[in-house]
Amino acid sequence: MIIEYFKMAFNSIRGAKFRSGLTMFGIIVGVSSVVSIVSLGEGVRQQITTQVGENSDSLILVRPGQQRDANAISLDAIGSFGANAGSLSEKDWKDTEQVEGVKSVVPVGVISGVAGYLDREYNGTIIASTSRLPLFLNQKIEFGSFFEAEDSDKKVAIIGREVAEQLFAESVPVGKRLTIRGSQYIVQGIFEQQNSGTFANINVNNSIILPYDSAKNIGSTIQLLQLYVEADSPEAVATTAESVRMTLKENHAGQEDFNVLEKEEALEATNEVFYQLTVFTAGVAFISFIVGGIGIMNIMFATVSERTREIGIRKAVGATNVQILGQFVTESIVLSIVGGAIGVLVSVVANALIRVTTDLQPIITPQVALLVFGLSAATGIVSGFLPAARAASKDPITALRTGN
Amino acid sequence: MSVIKIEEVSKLYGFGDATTVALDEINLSIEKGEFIAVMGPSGSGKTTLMNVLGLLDKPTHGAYKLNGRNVSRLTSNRRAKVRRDNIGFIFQSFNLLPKLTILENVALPLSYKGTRQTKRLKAAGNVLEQVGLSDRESYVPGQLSGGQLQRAAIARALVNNPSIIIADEPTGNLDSVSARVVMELLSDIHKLGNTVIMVTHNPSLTRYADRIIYMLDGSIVYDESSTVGEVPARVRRAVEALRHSDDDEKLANVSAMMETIPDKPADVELTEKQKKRAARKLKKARKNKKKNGKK
Repeated sequence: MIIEYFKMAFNSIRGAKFRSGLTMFGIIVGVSSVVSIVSLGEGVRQQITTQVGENSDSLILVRPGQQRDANAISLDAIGSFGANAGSLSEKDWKDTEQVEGVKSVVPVGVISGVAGYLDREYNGTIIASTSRLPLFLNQKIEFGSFFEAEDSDKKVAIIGREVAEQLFAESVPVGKRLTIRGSQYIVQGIFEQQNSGTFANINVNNSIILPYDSAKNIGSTIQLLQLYVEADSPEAVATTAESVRMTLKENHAGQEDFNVLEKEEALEATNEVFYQLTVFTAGVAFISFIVGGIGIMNIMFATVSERTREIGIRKAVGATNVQILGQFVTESIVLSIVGGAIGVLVSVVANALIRVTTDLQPIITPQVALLVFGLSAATGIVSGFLPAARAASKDPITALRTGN
Repeated sequence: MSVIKIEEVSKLYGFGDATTVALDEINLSIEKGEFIAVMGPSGSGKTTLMNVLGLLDKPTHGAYKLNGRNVSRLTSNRRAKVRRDNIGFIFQSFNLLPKLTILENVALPLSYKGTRQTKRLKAAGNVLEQVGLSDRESYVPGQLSGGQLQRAAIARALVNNPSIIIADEPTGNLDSVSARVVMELLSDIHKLGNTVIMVTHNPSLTRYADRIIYMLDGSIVYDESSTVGEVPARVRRAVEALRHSDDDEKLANVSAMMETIPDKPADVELTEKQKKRAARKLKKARKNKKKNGKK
């Protein structure tokens, strides 16, 4: 019988395409906007999370500044750290390496300066770091390679995609020389395009990464913005982080003007943003489903009174009240589910457009699609029930007498 | 055993002073295989009787036994099921669903029974063949003539092998040729052993029936057997009486004729008490009618 209901529902929707389309419009708009927003958020979140790299579970971050600043980080520019910068020193780095449970420490420092090539200049972020940095960036080198540990004083540079295109005006400038503070650096590797804000607050697209020692040798001050601390094991992260904190506090004469963050804490800011986004989206979704549902209810009421005679005929040939109720509720469910499906399709198309036109990579997870389908069906049931109940309660004699 | 047995069935509408008696303690039993023509002026309770017999409506008082089973107090869902399994309806205005094909329309009662699609479409096809509409199976009602539509409706009424077929003025919307085809078909169905109850205003159609019931003000005032193929003398007389009347309007309104018919009370045996009660009710109803009319 349920299959029958669906057949009847599809028939009657097919019989009134335009009206059904209008009815579904509310649901379509609601679903597509909700799915798009959620998938955008999910895409960005996943990009940021994967940015942490494979050994992220044993990662501890040390950043300058007060605790509360940790949640105020911007997703993008490292430059925004300016205000906090400077409270970490090279001594902190070296001392951290000595802390028990620490496997390695990778510093991320910036130097001021402008990169030059021929008569062009590029004002990017010049980063000084060590050979283990790629472990924490999770960003592939597209051409060439990253520098090795023994190359720490060599004048080589790894550049981002934007640097390659804007400074060198070509896609693979490996082997070309660029000038920083009067010293020439050979481009050894080029990162592949980075598509989102980063977990590590480094936008590699506009970065030029130099070996730490060689950057120091060209006579610039290196501001340490971040220390990536790798603990021996994921289990040791908490205790190691505590030891690091103690050591640094000692170094800073008891002042805690730095942050020691475990991975979860570092992601907290990001997650907080997405949590709020999710709550907001849920609110929008709720409203749009209510509006869509009322639209459906309205049309179903109209349909029921328009089809009074049909209801009378069906009852006369033996349809029970329950069967009539089932028929109309199914019709409303089909309307809202088809609306939901069209909404998902619309957001798939919208996502494709977003992928093509921007750096964002929205992802529609099966959970979201399922949830939206469930919500659509629920909307159908709720908004179809009253009209269907009215249809079911019609007196067959009166209904048959209705002319049309 | 009678297919239908109703005892002292009344149907009242409204309440208090506005009560209208549509059926006034009617007793009737119908045997399997009868073809009954129900006649009477407008408002005499024919359609209400059909609705009660067809389980579209519940009697206010009285007992209704269909195939020996008391069905007068069933819930509406139960009534729907009994209707689905035991009763076939034929309406004046055909009442086919315009968006379904003829085949689907005919199969509709079976779909509420839960019969599988292939099986019910096959059954519908067989009945359509019986009524001579095999070549119109895939048409929608809008593409068929009135006579064909009524034959399709008859097929729908037959598809679930009902105990009774209720036809409410089946030829009322048809031209005389189509009406004749439809009546012949009903007659054939009757000859196959089906029980048919037909409401009609057309005296000449009584020739297809083997029993004729006249109703007036909610009571059966006359109930007689007749020979199939003949219009009973009483009806003939009435028609002739009308022909001699110079009131053209009365001639047009055949139902008005019925007022001139019987002076003999119904054949049904009533006790004195019942008669008194019936008379009282009738009086009250007439009084109400008058009162309402004045308003």
